[in-house]
Amino acid sequence: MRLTASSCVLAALLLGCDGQPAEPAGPLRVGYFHGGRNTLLYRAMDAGGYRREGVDVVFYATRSTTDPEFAPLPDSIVEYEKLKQADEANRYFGRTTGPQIIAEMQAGRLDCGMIGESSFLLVVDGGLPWSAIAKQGQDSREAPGKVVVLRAGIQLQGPEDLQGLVMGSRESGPYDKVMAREFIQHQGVELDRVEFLDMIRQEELRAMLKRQELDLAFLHLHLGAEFVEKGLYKVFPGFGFHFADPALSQSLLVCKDTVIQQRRAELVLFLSAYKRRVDFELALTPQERARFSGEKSRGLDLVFFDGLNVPQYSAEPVIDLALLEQMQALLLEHGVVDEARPVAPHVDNSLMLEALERVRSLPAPQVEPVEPFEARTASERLLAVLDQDGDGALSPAEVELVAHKKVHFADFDGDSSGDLDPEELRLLVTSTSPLLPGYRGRGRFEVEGEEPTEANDSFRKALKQMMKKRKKLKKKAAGENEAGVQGPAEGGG
Amino acid sequence: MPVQPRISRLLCASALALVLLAGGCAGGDQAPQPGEPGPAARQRPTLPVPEAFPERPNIVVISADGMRLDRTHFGGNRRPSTPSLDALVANGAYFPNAFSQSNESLLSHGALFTGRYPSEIGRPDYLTLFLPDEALLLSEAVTAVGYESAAFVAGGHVKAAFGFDQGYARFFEGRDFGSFHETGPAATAWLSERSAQGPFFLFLHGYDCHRPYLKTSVFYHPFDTGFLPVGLDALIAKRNFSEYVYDGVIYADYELGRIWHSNGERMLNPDAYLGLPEYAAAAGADALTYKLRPDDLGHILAHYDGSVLMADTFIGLFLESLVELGLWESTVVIVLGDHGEDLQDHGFYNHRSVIFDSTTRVPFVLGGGALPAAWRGTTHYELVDAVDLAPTVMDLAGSVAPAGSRGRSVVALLDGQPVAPKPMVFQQGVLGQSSVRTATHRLVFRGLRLTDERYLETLATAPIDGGHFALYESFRDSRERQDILARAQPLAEQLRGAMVDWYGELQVGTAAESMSPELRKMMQDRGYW
Repeated sequence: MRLTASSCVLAALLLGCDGQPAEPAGPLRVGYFHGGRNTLLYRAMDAGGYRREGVDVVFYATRSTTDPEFAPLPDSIVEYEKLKQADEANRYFGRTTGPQIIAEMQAGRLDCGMIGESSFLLVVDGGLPWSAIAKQGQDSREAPGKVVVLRAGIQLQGPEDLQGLVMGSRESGPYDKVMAREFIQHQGVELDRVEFLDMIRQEELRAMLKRQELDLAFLHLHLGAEFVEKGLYKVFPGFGFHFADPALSQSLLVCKDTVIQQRRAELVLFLSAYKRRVDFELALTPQERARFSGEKSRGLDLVFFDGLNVPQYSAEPVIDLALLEQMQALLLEHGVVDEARPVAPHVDNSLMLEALERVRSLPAPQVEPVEPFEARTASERLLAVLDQDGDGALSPAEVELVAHKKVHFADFDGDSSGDLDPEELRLLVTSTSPLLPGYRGRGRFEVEGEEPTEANDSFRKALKQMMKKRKKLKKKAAGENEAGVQGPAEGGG
Repeated sequence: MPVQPRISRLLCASALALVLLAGGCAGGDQAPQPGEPGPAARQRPTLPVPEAFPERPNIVVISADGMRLDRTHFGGNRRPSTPSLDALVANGAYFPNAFSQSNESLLSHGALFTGRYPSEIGRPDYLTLFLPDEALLLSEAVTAVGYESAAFVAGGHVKAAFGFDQGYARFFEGRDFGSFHETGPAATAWLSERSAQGPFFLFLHGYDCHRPYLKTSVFYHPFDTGFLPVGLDALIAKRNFSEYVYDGVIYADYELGRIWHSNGERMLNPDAYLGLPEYAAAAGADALTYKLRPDDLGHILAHYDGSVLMADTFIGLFLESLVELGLWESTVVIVLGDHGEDLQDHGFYNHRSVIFDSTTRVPFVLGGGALPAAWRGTTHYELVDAVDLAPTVMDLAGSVAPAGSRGRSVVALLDGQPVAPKPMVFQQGVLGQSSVRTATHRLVFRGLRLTDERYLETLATAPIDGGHFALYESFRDSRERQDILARAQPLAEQLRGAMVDWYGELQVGTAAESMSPELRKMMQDRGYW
């Protein structure tokens, strides 16, 4: 027994007690691709959800559009967006594909990854000891998230007109390729009558669409809508997602089985944080979603383009095995896989079910108590807006920064403390106004009264003065620029 | 000379400011002395929250003229432009899908006070329209049921000359296009001097956020401190600056023109907006024009936001005076806007040229200490519009709305009663536009005057794609800049049908007859007839 135990300790260092390799400690390393079907996992991180649950997670994606090496993503979406936009030609964290994430997991550099169901079925086909443990975003049956577009100018009289056309789809797992073919078959056209260009990288696909080099394209909604709105393409006449189940679009969180076994508790916490984020976003009303859709941290998009919509999230993000088997049948039909291997052993919903149970048992989120209206005065509230350094008072510099130039700080610093407190600020606000001639500071200021507009010489004069001043400034700046100093932004005359 | 006494004298010179201080002219006794904790450090007792709605509360309606919802912080502006209204929203009931009935003050306030659509107030001719003596206004209806009414308006289109002074025990008209800075303290003074025991209805109005976005009191650029205006501020200070701008370019030679209302009031001719795009397209090289830089446009927007902050501050000061006068607990406050402002969303810096969310989506908030706990902190996404105000106020007053009111009280929504959502709101623009706004879309009809005899026929029969109509997916395209009519004609037709039906039901100029039998009886009981 002692020997066995010692062996186990030794083996555990290398393989784990059950003979499987020990997974490294440290943060959970999760392969990520930033898109509509995965974004809530990232938003959970952005909102501090994983930290609050006590689980350390790092997302990884390919470093840039041209650098396939994986790099950790910042834990803030704002930072991510900054990085992404920093270099237009070689965007940081350019689109990462399912197969790239799979390769990285195989290399041992990731514990889990977010991949589409078609890519996951390649994992199943390869017999890898990995399992899908949660579903992320998915297109809805009512409002599919993919569209087929037809180049503007092409007139179709019947299916025969599709013959000889070039149809493109983007680089991803086999999903886009398979769906493009399903669509053509559904039109009653032999597949060999259409030229398919598959797995086109996103940037190249965009360029080809811009140049109208494709006659047809199977596209994700945002891209399709963009080119339809530009007038370069139109939605395929009478398009409806009838050629396959639109819900065949599950994005899955897939982990190595060893990770599931050895770090199960962490994964449950990870999924709990994700589930709580889903609940938060689903609780937003459509109006709130619209209102916050511009914010990266809040408000899952709703698009609604020709009856289509972006992927949505289920309140119970468990994996639908039937859909996976349906997808597998399509992969088989189109020769992507050779045989229908059992999928069920590779699906483990138990962690998500545990997470759901855990979230249900948690106390309802504490609502921050609302401060009664009467608890603060209007001038305290105004002061909080104007107070740059947050010390609860306005310094002369803070007043000067925002006040009309005729306002003199000392006139209102009643206690000569060197700061304006809310009461003094109230005096300032209520006793002076550009509208009232009664301001008795060291100067007077008023808005000019209504003027005749038929011959508005005064307005023209002011404009000419402004143009003159700006021209002078521009000239000065140009001189300074020659000396290497940055000038003001360009204006127009 | 010590500074404090000088300030005190300064304040004593202004009776209005005195009232706000509530400490009188006693030499600044209320101000903290050096070494004393300032007001920020004071503990303020919070008031009890009623479980049930009180009978016949005081009712205050505040109209922030020109306040566009999405420039308020609670309505989506990232700038903290409305700290006091944010607090009111947090403690009140908020209606984020509220719309004015028009894109202009006269028509819109007319709808607020009559509960009728602009066309029903009178013949919708901008040069002759006013609230007729025969019209039953909210101020009269609420007075009839025992409220003492007072209004403190900032002139412009909301004054006696346009018929807005009817029914009040006190009607204060400040300087034209004036500020809450003036009307707020006047209202506070009235409240502090008031001896009547019964409830009051008070209407407070200010043009602080109205163009030229300059009524920012002493805080000139609270949201754009780093910008060097180089002459731009002097230009903004010209009252009609905004009217010369189209699509980011100043056209200084453009003739705006004046018109005279039948009551003798002079105003800018809104027709000028129709000609501005055409003028802009044809402006030759010799025309005095200037293309504003992006940071100029940002600066102008910051001016507008600064104006919103000042409106918020003065409204906050007035509400604070209700607390100080011990009236807060017995008062319901409704804060709303009468129209918004196009801030280059469609090329303009004004509100009368176009009818969109930019010019008609406005704040609508109920607050005040009389609000029961169940109403507080609630958000109601149902569509509401200006015609809902009169029925709501009458409902709060324990009475019924004037007959013919087109709106409905929001009290049922606040009480959580099952209420069928209002499917759409109808709006009429000063340049003849009509619009239907649903929760998701907007259809606009344009091209004819509201007084044109062919209006209804054209509305009903013109080809939907013939140029009179435009359809916007407001839900997705929040600035309503992309006309989707070409790809959504069935929806456009459906909304056109609703608009035609609506026009069919309108009774032009009938607001004067809007006395319900119930209200008539109530008024008779109180000795009015």
